[in-house]
Amino acid sequence: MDRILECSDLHKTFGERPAVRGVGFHIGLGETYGLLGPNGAGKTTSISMICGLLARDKGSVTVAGKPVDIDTVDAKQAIGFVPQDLAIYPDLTARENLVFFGRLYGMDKASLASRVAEVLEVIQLSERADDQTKEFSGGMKRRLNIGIGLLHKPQLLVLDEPTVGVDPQSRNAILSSVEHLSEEGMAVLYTTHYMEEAERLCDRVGIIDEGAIMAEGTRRELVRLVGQRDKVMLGAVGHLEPVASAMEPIEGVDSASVYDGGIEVIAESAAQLLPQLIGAAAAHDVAIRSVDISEPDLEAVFLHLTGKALRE
Amino acid sequence: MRGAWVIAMKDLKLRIRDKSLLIFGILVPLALTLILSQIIGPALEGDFSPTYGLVDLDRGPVGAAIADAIESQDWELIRYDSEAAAQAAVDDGELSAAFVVPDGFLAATETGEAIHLGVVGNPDASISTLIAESIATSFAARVEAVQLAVAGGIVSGLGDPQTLAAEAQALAAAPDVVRVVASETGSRQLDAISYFAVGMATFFLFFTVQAGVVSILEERQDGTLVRLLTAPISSMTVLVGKSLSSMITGLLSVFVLVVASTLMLGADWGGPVGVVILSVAGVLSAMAVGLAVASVARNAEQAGQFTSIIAVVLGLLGGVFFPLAQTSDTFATLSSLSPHYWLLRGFGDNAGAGSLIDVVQSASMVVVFALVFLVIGFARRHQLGAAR
Repeated sequence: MDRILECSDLHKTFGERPAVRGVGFHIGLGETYGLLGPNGAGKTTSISMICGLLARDKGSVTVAGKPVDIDTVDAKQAIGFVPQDLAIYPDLTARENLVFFGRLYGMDKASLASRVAEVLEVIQLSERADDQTKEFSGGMKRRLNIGIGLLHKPQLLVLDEPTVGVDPQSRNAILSSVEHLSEEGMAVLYTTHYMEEAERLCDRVGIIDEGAIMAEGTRRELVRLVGQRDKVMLGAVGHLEPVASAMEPIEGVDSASVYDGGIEVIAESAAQLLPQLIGAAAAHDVAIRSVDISEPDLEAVFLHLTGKALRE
Repeated sequence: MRGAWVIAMKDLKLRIRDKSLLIFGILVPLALTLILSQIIGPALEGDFSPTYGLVDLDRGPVGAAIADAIESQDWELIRYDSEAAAQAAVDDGELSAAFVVPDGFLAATETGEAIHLGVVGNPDASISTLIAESIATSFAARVEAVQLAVAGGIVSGLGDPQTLAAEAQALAAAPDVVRVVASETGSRQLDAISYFAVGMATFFLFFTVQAGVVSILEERQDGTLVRLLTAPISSMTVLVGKSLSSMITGLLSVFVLVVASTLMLGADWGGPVGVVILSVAGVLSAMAVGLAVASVARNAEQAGQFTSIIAVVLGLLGGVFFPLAQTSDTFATLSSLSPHYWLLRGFGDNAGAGSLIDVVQSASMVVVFALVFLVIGFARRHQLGAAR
């Protein structure tokens, strides 16, 4: 996979306080990478250095093979940035906002007009294109905020917590848009403190806390890293001991034990094992009345790695 | 440069759309020009008609020369026999000020003894009193110079004392000092409408132009600066774009005011070349101050306060409401630190008897002022960025 972004050993200290300590990762074409961490973990500082907004104390960043620094011009052409706070001009219309930023990226008049129309369609603002954005709802402004980042078809799109303060409907629309981007081959760097967003969107996730990446990998890799397994609670009545004994040898099952009202199974990829577990119960004439699977998530991983909850 | 132009055009569109350029750049200065010229104007131009008193106890050529100086300006002169009578007239407000030439004044020039040429002033007519003091000071300086020359001549044996004394009397009485002063003032004098048109244009220019540069801090607060700085342009391009929009806004404002005040109020700004030179210099100085302020201010509100204070102080010092430089030497010195002073002086030369060289000299002083602040602003440009 071609690497669009490579950053290594990023350091930044504000006064006496180290904000980022040795952050490094890479993103390939068409890959969505998530930086998951609580507020103040160093996500925004890291992407500010990656986008050339903030001078780093140490480390290196290249985007599309070109080094990024303060006042870098070439490499920034490959980056689309969607800041956490709205960055649009309220007294300009949606179209004027897009045209202004398109021109800053050197787009010529003809291609700009058609691309603006295209982006307006994608962000579902075509009908309000010529209204001043101060008249827009919060969700519409958010969509325009993302549209500006997409306009010049960047190779790397950096989104800094784009769903903070957004209503559920707009949030879902934003997440769907990001999913489509990676399908189109765009590399995406997505920062969030919402575990569900990282799980839904990201091919790989870097868990960041106190300025350092604690762990990195796919969701499954991260879960495995901390030794977490799925927990399956099978509701049943009857003679359950032989059923539990029959379940234990099944490949992927770590343990099976009887509790009051059912059988508790600890396994890897429990959902895939479910037919075999139900089959074992049926073989002993025991009917399963309910199934409750608790999969370990990134929240659990974060808790395991840092000893604190993601949203503390 | 393309990026700077794109930013400048966007800013210009926003300024026109929010009407601030129309209100503060054109309408308010024009309205104030009209109002101030009606209220203060008469005191500054043709309607200025002081009445002076003269107590000539010496009854010699000095008193006659003072009378000549006053009457040559078409100002009224009333003669009194005693200082007390003149003092009473001043106290009653009948006189703006009175000159007292003491008995034996001229004779004292021969002997070199100390003697005073008095001025009795009316506190309610400060300008008239200042003029009287200026005339008296000129005479006194002249007499002192003559006394020194006579003394030097006698010591050197260049002539007999009586002849030298006679020549000294004639020299001391010569009123040309007053004429020189009047001529100097006249060459830089704008009529009231023109004075206030220039004054208000330069005064509001600082608000209009600085608002443009300081808008970079508003962009920082609104988050759009972050987006500008992640675009493939340098921070210098952003700064140049902001400066460019401010310059266009400032020049547009001044040129509209020049045309409007000329056509509607009859103001005289002088030749177009001088107007362009001085306008560019003025816009440059306002932009430079705005840039320096933006680089030190913490936020847009603070920058707005700073720029307002600076614009008002520089405007007052420079004499946009009143020719402060003419009130004392201290204020004259302080005024010369203000670009407004040099702009008013430059426009005065441009509209009066001054040459284009005089105009360029005034504009140069404004540019020097601008350069100082431009260096500060550009050196600290990274402070304008987001969280740098």
